[in-house]
Amino acid sequence: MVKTATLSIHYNILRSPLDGSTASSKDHIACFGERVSVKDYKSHKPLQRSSSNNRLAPSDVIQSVNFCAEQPRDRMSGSRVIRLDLASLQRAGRDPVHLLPCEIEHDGPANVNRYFSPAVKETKSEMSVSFRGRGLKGQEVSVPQGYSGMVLKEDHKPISEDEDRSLRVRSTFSTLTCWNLETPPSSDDGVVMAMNWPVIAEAIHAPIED
Amino acid sequence: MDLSEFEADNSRSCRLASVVPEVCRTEDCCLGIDEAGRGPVLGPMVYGICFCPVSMKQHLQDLKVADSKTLSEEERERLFVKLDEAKHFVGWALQVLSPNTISTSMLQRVKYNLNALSHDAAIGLVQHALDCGVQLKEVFVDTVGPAEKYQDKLSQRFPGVEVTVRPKADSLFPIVSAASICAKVARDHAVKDWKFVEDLGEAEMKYGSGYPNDPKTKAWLSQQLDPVFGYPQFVRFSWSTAKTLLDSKAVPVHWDDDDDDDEGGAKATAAKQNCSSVLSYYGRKKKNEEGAKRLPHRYFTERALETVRDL
Repeated sequence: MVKTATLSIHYNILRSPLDGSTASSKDHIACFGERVSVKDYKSHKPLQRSSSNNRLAPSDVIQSVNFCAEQPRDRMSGSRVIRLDLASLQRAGRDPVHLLPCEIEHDGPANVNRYFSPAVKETKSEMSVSFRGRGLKGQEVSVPQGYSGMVLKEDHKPISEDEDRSLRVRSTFSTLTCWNLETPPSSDDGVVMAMNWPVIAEAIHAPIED
Repeated sequence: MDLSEFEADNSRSCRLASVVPEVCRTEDCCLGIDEAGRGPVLGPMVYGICFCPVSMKQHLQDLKVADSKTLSEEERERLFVKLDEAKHFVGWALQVLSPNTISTSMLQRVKYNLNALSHDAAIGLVQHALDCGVQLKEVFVDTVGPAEKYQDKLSQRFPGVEVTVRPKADSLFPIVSAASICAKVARDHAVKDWKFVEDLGEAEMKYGSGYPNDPKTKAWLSQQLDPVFGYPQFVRFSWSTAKTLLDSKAVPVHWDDDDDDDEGGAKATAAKQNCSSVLSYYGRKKKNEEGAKRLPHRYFTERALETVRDL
């Protein structure tokens, strides 16, 4: 049986103040975990589940995921729902993702595979490339354990602020390349340090077994 | 001339050198330095040295290595062949500075300008000759920036060597002329055989002279311009012609070391850096907004983590 559930999901979007889009329109890079609370869409009553820990089970066929405010009362006051079509996850490929140390005032297609990817040089210690004539040094950073990276796309932007939004998964990734402006990459780089947060969050927020 | 080492990775700089003639290790030598491709907005800049025993200066003159600026490309090629054939007493070395190296050096956070880049290339080549055992006594070089300062800099760097910095050195001293030929031949080859890592297809070749005031070159730049990436790595991004075209036709890109933007100045910069502008302490104090948000712990700001409530 197909359920349409409203899932409240805790998610952090890793967005550096200086990121640059190198992929298509309205793509967002998001990492989110599997800890969910599954409620019936209309009544907001928790669904009966066999496992008590509120994680998505392999047998769950969830057609879509709705992002919404965590409190049901906010939902009823009319804030909109953002729907993610999970079927697109199966069709999604794996595209390399690059995080640049600059702000590019552009949202749209870009010739990454012509100007950027072939120019990346790799030595044993580091990766290097140039963008707009500036030297960048990069490292591959992995998404935290138990997390998936997804590039989401919104095909039709809503006209009004109340209208529900609809996203699909364009591609997934488990590592991304983080580029510094001239500085050799290290474990002190913001994004690398950020990837440790889920470990700490787990330690702080996980329920304590009696 | 074999440029395959440079062609293997034309995004970096590369040193190429001839075998050092035995006589250069045993006799006092003179050395000339010259460059090619300093002005163009396309392709590499090449620094070249040429050296031979002081006693054989006349032999060099007999090769008729005249002022290379007056020679055609074919004539330069022929003269280089002659120099190569004279390898029992003439040695040479080149530093090929890729356009990518020029761009990234000149656009660095800590600026590394073209003159400094040139001086270092020249110094590196002279040091190479010394390291190879050349008995260097005289160096002749054209001016790069103020002549006296350059002469002092080189003299201090190479004690025991008599340094002569003179404008138009390539027409005054045959050994500089020879260096000029080596550098120019290298540049001509590097440009003609340039492999675009960007795989541009048909459009590659019609860029005129490569000088920024050549209308053909400007047209080529305009045609090649990609709104996000700018240009292929064949282009020197640090050249004002290239920059101006990007400013008008490419999408704006902001780096954290940019000069203050037109909009806002100090406040905009402060806002970008996520701290208070000192200007916010002046002027009327605002009443605290109801339910003012608590600032996140700096653990999160350091890692650019924010809880997102909407996409």
